[in-house]
Amino acid sequence: MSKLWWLGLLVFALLTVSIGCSNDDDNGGTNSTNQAPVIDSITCDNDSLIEGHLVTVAAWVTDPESENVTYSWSCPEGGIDFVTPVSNSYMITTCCTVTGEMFRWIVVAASDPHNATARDSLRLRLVPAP
Amino acid sequence: MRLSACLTMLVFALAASSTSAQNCCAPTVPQQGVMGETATLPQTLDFALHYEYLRSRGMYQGPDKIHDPYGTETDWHRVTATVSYGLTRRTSFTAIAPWVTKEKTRYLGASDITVLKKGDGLSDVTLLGRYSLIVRDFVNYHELSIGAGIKVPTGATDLESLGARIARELQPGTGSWDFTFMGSYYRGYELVDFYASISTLLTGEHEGYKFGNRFSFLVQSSFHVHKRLDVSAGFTGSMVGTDSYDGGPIHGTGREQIWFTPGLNLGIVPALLRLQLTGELPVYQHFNEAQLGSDYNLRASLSYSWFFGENED
Repeated sequence: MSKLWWLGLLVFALLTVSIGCSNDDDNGGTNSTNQAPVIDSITCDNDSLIEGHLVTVAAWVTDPESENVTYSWSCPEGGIDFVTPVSNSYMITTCCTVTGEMFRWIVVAASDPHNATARDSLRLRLVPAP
Repeated sequence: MRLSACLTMLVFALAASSTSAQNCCAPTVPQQGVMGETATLPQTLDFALHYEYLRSRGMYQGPDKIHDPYGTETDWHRVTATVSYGLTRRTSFTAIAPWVTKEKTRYLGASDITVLKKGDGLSDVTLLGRYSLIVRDFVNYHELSIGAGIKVPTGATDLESLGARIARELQPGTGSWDFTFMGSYYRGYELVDFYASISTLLTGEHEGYKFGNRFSFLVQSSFHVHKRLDVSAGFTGSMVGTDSYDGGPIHGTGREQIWFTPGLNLGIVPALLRLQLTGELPVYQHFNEAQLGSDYNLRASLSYSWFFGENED
């Protein structure tokens, strides 16, 4: 009986620690009041991207704690080369020959120093070179 | 024997007549050479180190070379370690672990910018089991085997450069669990060997993206010109399906290619340590829409067999 009681106590203690840890993780691990950045909008300086030309996409982000935000850009379908980053924006071009009108998602993830992350995307039109 | 000599001559003649065909190829390659020509003998461990250089230049649309205003170039280097173990007379297992370095450059004339992208790291590991229907041994140089394997997504798919994820084609891994099935036939004679294999790769999906399925083949013959030197020639080819994202096709993917593959096989220590040098010259290609082609591929393989059994009959 005594062994069973100790075993029950051990399980309870482990569960308590485990629940406590997961709560910390949910709040970013280091700061329980931290909030993820907010992406207000993503813009492109041109209606469409002509093959071999450059356009600039930008993410307009605010962080509730006014902390530094880092950006991670991607194009999950492929077809885009990310050329030069400038602060909250990126100059991009087509990576391959564009044989007809097509569309690509440009995705940005904005993260604060606590790794709280917000994501948003922009649908970009690609057209062949004239 | 007379038939085998005729087949060998046919392979060489076909190869010689088709090397002057048009130039091509995308920077991906079938893996048959890495999978091993034959199943590993029982109670034997085979170790091999393969180096591949894939040099791509020129843009193609369908079968035709087209003008590439961006001078797109890619150079891929791949070092692959393989370990094979012969469990029984009929059963063997192979692990294939590649390390890749991929570089791509494009010149944007309108902006006078050269875009250089690079990805490197451990690629996807393949585990392959093989079963011999006709068993090769130390006296019978005849083998028919089938195999099945799984490609484990061990390679990174999220490498970034300056805050942007590099293109999927430059990532070391594909992120998907893929399945491969193969069959191979080998016949060895005193002066010549024949080898043929087929394999297929059924690809899985990762983050909504699916690389095209692939079918590959290899037919090859080698002459024993010296007790330590073989000269080989053959053809290898592949058909790759169109990639897709969220079920929709990705433009500029999917192709068919055939290469001529001349080579040398040097027995540094006969039956134990050998060096293989192989070139790949494209003889036929057909790309869906516009894709990058290549000049040539080079391969070098160093393999060592460690027999630790007792019944060397």
